[in-house]
Amino acid sequence: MIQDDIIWSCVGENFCCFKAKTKLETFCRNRYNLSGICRRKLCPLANSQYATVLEHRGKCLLYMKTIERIHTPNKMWEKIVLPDKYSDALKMIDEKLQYFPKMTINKAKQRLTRIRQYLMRMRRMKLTVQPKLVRVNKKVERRERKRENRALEVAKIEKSINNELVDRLKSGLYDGFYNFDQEEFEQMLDKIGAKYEEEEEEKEKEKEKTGGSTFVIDEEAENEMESWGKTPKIWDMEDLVDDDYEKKMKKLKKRKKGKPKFEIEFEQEVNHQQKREKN
Amino acid sequence: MTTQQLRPIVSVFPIKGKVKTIKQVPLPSVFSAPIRPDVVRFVHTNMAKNNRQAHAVSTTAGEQTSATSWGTGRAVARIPRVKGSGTGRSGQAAFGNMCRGGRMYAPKKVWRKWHRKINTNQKRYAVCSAIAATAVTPLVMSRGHRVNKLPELPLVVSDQLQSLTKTRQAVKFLKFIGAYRDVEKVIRTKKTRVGQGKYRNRRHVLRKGPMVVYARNLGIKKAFRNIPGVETASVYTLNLLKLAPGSQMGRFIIWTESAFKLLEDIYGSWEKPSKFKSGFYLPRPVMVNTDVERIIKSDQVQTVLRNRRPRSRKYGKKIQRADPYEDMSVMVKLNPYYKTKLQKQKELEEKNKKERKEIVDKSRKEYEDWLYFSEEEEEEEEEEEEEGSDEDREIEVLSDEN
Repeated sequence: MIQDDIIWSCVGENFCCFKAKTKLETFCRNRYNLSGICRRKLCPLANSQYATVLEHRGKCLLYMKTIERIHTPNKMWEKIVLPDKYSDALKMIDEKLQYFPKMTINKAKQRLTRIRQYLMRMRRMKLTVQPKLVRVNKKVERRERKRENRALEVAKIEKSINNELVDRLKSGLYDGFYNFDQEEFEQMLDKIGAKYEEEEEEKEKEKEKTGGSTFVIDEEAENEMESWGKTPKIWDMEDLVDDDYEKKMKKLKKRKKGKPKFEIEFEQEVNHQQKREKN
Repeated sequence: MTTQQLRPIVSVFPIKGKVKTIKQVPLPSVFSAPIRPDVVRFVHTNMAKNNRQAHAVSTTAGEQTSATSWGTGRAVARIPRVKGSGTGRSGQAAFGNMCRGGRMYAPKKVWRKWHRKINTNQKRYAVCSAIAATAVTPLVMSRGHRVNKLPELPLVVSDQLQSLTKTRQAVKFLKFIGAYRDVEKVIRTKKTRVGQGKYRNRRHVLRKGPMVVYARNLGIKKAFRNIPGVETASVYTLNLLKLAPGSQMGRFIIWTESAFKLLEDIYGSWEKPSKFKSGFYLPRPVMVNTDVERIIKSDQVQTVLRNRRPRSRKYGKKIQRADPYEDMSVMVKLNPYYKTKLQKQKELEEKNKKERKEIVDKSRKEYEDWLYFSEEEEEEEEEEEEEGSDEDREIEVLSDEN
């Protein structure tokens, strides 16, 4: 008490190793300072009766200093563990710092609140996954990207895959396995089936026409026939149905995506003579 | 501090074994001497000048020419110029402090006053203050010494310390007593000097560590010599420049028991003069109890004070008054005429309004009258025309028939 003013005149106004001056504020680096600011009432050196709240490993401790212990530095600070409950801790502060100046008590409580707040925040943060910020080295990134692209080009992956598959096919690995892509398989089948049917139908038609044997018409003969005028052709119901039409429709369905869409119109020849005949 | 001894007893610690008090020694009066930073600063700044070596610039520097001024009329400055020709130097300016190769302004002389005399009493005052400050823990801490682990301040140790010969023993002792942290600080912060001193045989800069004060050198000097930051001193020759380095009080000192006891004899007290400094008594404080706040708040003072006078409103706190323009009752209190004034205003307003209305109505009526009247005239004219036309038509009709 008696020394305090002398100490402040030496320390506060002159040099103190804990003092950190900035343009706006003077701070105190002393560990035991209540608020970190260099001020007469807050200086842990210039107040022989002083108290702080410090945190150690999640526990809040009340540090008290009295003039009786100033001459024994290793026993100067009395440490009291504050209870975990906030209200109890406040009560304890009130109790222990009964005869201390009011400013000290208020500051100690405020400090306790702050410490508890940041401890809570720390605990909460530990439960979540914090994103780790990693530096992006532009040069390195650029270099690696280029190298990746180059490696990709050189590897010629598709080609090698293709070769490998073909080899496997040749080796007979896939014998017996035809229905990999169910849809494509079915479409293929349909295609083949339709072709087969068509072939059969064609054969039948030819048989009808030529009575079993097929022969090729002379071009000259064809032309002569045509020049004589229109000869009534005997149309079958089957002929009316354009097989090609069906095929073509299937092809349309099988059309791949991205390819331009073509609309093909089929004209069905209406034979007026036939109609007249019927009528 | 105070004439009254704050702490009459100091513990003496051993140099090895356990950190426990082996003895208790009375606190010498020096430690109660007034702590005066202003005196210490004055004495320190002057004392620090006393170890300077004279230096000066050569007396002939810049004067070794026979230069003369060319005078006026040559379209050059009148500064003395070097005589002769055939060299670049000829015609160049010489002698002035502004000239290249000229002498400096006020060349330094060896007979400059390098040292300062300080009154002996002042010097002793400063030393006493500095010694007293070494016992004040906050001051020692503020200087930057790491004294948190010390068992006591002032730190007094048994005389066995004086007989130490090996540095290893000395380091062991420092670690034992808790003073080695200060030494570690020194080692950690050893740096190359900033500035030209580094190539003038002052290459490294060290912090100040603990100072060991002994009564008799039985090897202690050599034992502590090589430990960085640690200084030794005899009690009889305590130097202010070491006690308050940089005029900052509060050096960390380790006293040996006999040295500690000798302080009483060397610096005396207020009653008994010093045995070694003839006629020297400890300086008296101007103010014995420096806790001004406590004095003012004490019962002895408060009972004698007169009662506080009522504060003058003029320079007192700002009193919150109700706004008269918001609250009519307050306004009326302040200015009773206000109500009647308002009433009168109102009446006047209404009167004016009425008059205005009358005028407006009148003028409107006049305008309307004019308007309608003119319409009637037109109608009459139209009627006349119609009549005329009828007549004409009749004549026409007659003619048509015929």
